[in-house]
Amino acid sequence: MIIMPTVQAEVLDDLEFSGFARIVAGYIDDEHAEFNGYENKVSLNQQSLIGLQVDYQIIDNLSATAQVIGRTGDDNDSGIEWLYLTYAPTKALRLKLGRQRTPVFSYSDFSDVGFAYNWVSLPQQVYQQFLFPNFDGLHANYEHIGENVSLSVEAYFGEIDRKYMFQGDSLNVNVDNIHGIVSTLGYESWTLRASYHRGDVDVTQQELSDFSDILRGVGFTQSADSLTNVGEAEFYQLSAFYEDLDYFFRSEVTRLRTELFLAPDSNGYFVSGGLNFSPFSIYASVSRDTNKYSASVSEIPIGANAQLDQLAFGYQEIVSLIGSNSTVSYSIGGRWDYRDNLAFKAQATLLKERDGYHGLFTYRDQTFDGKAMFYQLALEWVF
Amino acid sequence: MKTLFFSLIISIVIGFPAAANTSIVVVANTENKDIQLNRQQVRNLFMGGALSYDLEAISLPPKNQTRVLFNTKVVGLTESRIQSYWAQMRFTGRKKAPKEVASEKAVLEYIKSHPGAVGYLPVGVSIPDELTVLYSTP
Repeated sequence: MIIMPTVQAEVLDDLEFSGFARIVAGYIDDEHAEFNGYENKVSLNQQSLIGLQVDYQIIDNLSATAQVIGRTGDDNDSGIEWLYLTYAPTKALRLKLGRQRTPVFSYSDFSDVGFAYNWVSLPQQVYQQFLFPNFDGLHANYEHIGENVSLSVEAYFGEIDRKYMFQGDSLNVNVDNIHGIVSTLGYESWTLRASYHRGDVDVTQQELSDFSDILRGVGFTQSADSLTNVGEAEFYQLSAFYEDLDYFFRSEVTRLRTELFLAPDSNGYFVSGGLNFSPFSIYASVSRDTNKYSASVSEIPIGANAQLDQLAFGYQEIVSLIGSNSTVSYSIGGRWDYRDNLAFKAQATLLKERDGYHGLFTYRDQTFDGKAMFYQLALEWVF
Repeated sequence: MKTLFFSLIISIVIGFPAAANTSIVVVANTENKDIQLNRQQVRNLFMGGALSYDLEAISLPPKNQTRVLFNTKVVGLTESRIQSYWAQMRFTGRKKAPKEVASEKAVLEYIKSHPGAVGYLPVGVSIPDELTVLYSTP
């Protein structure tokens, strides 16, 4: 009994609690369409969130970490984002085993930590793609610091078996053998990152698979195959960031190739530059993408009988929900670091569908012209 | 003009003019007295990079004037960006920010009693003989 308090104190010494929170208000200045859950009135509950992290140092070079995020928003996917063991046999090598965020693009694995970047929303055309945020597996990171250059190489592999909400739809996602390699080079004020990722994906959206099964059952194999969400997905990424006391410049180019009906082949990029007047900074960004869906087939005869017509009509309905497109956004914004762990941000974005099918907005009405201003304010906190 | 604006802001934050001419020395408690680092290596060390030497960086609190100078002359990033960087590193399980001690005096005390510890100090602070100067700003 006498030694209990000491033991407890020692355990507490090795435990660290930390977290982050963001309150984001957004508003679409157009009554004819909605965007990512935002509409023509101020909403606070689309991107606001809170994250809590616990780190426990088990022994000298072995620790355990858990991070839980509580979200708002229509695609609310609260839960355990990270749960892993870290083993660092040397200072240069670090291994993580467990559930982790997938480090696909430069900001992918900390997109929820708004305090860590200047935008209110990461560039839409690169960061709103159909990606899988977490995986369960092993991540290894090796780092070398030379006299003038630093180099880090990361590699990971694992699997994903999880239910996600994507634009209001429930998706069962199963990715076997997801893996990737990331190399990051630091030279003076520059950071260059290049990465490659791939996985064997099997996504189930219930209504879609049911309909595909019906088509297959009556022999329309090509039509059934064209709706399939099983296949390979590959991601490529390249980014160059520059930052000094006065200026910053960031650019990233991404490319996604999939064999899935729901996920288009996408190319995206953003270019952003800004000025620091500590504790303020301002920036301007351009971000653009093109999305290409696989072609539909016309296999089912029309006019033969009512049942076939119904199938053909159903198929046309489904493929009409998606279509190749190209979109662009222009943003300006600012950040004020009010305290060392508290920042305010503002961002104004012109969102614009360039050509092709609907690419950005949801619930549009007939008179919508495909472009709208989007205003956001945010409070970012880490603790 | 920007530099003037920046020092003005620093002056407002700190409460008195930043001594922009003061140099910074980086001091360590190492057995090997021959270690010399360049600015890039020092920057990497204090940003959590794994140098081939067994060194543990320690830092001063954000509003400390020596830290402001170190950020300006060695790291080349604003305090805001450094805080952002550590938030990213912590919440992606990569690196943790150097341990912070309260004052320049406490930095010296800490280094003296911890082999491998490295800290930065303004030039002019008397450095005990048993410690090694790894780098000083021009």
